[in-house]
Amino acid sequence: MTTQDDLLHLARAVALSRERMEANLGGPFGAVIVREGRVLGEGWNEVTSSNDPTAHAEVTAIRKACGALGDFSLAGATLYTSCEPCPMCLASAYWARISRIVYANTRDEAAAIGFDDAFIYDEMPKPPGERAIPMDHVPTPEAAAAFAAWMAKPDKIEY
Amino acid sequence: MSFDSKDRGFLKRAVDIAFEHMRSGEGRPFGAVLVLNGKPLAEGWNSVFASKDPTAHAELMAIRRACKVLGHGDLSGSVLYASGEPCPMCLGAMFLAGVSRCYYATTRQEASRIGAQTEAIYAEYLKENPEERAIPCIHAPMAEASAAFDEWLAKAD
Repeated sequence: MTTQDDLLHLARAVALSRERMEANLGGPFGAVIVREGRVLGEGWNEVTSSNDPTAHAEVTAIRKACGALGDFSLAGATLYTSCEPCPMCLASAYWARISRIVYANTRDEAAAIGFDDAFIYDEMPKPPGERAIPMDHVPTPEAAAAFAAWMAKPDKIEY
Repeated sequence: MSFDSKDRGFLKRAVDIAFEHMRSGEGRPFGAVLVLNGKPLAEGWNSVFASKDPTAHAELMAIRRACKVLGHGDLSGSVLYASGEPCPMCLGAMFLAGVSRCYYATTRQEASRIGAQTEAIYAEYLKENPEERAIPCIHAPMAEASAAFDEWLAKAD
C-alpha cells in the first residue's frame, strides 16, 4: 500500500540513483529517509568513489540521518530506496529502527545488471560453518566475561 | 578447522577491544580485528552510542578502516576475528568486501541474552514475503527506476 507522498519520495530516491551514477560516484542506487513528511537524510552508492564496500545508498542515508539528528534511532521513519535493499542494508534498517521500507527495483533486477545480492540473501539463513565464507565458533572465557560485564554495567545505554 | 596460537591471539585481541570500548561507554561489548597475510590490518569496535551511528558495529568499522588503509574495497584473503558472531549487516559487508574467513567467540544466542537483536534479525531473512517482515518492505515498481538500471548497463565507463 503506497500513497502519493510515498511515490514522490521514491521518485526522489530514483532520481538520486541516476544523478550520482552519472557523476561516477558508484552504482545506480539512491535512498531517502523520511519521518512525518520531513526528509532526514539522503544517500547514494559511493562504493567505488570512496573505496568503502559498505557505502551503499541505504547505509549512507541512515548514517547521514542519524548524524543530522544526533540519534541512533530512526523509529517511525520510512526508508525509500531505488532498489530492494541488500542483506547488509536490510539489517542496518533494523538496527536503525526504521519502521517501513518502500523500494522500486527488485533484487533480481539488480542481479541482472551485475549486482548479485541474491547470492548473499541465500547465505544468510545457512549455519555459519556452511557458508561460502567459513565461520567458526571458538568460545573463550574472556568473551563470555565481556558479556557478563555488560550485564553488570550500571550505566549501560538501553536500546 | 585449523586454529593455532596466532589465531587465538587475534581473537583475544578482538575481545580485549570489546572490553576496552564498552568500559569507555562507546557502545556494546563487541570488538573485531581484520588480518591479512598474518598481520593485523585494522581494528573495529562497537561505537553506536558515541557516534550515534547504528551501523558502527565492530566488524563493519574494521572493514571500513581496512579498505581505507589498502586504498581499495577488496579484502580477499583476509581473516576477521570477532568477539561476537557477526550480525546480518556485518555478514553482508563481509561478503561485499570479500573477507575469506571468520572466527568468533560468542554466538547470536548469547548476544540475545545481553539484549542485542542479532538473532531476531537473522530470523527476518527466513520470511519469504518482504511485506510480512517486522519492517514491512513494499515493492512499488517505477519506470524511471528500471531506466536507471538500463542506463547503468549501457554506461561505457
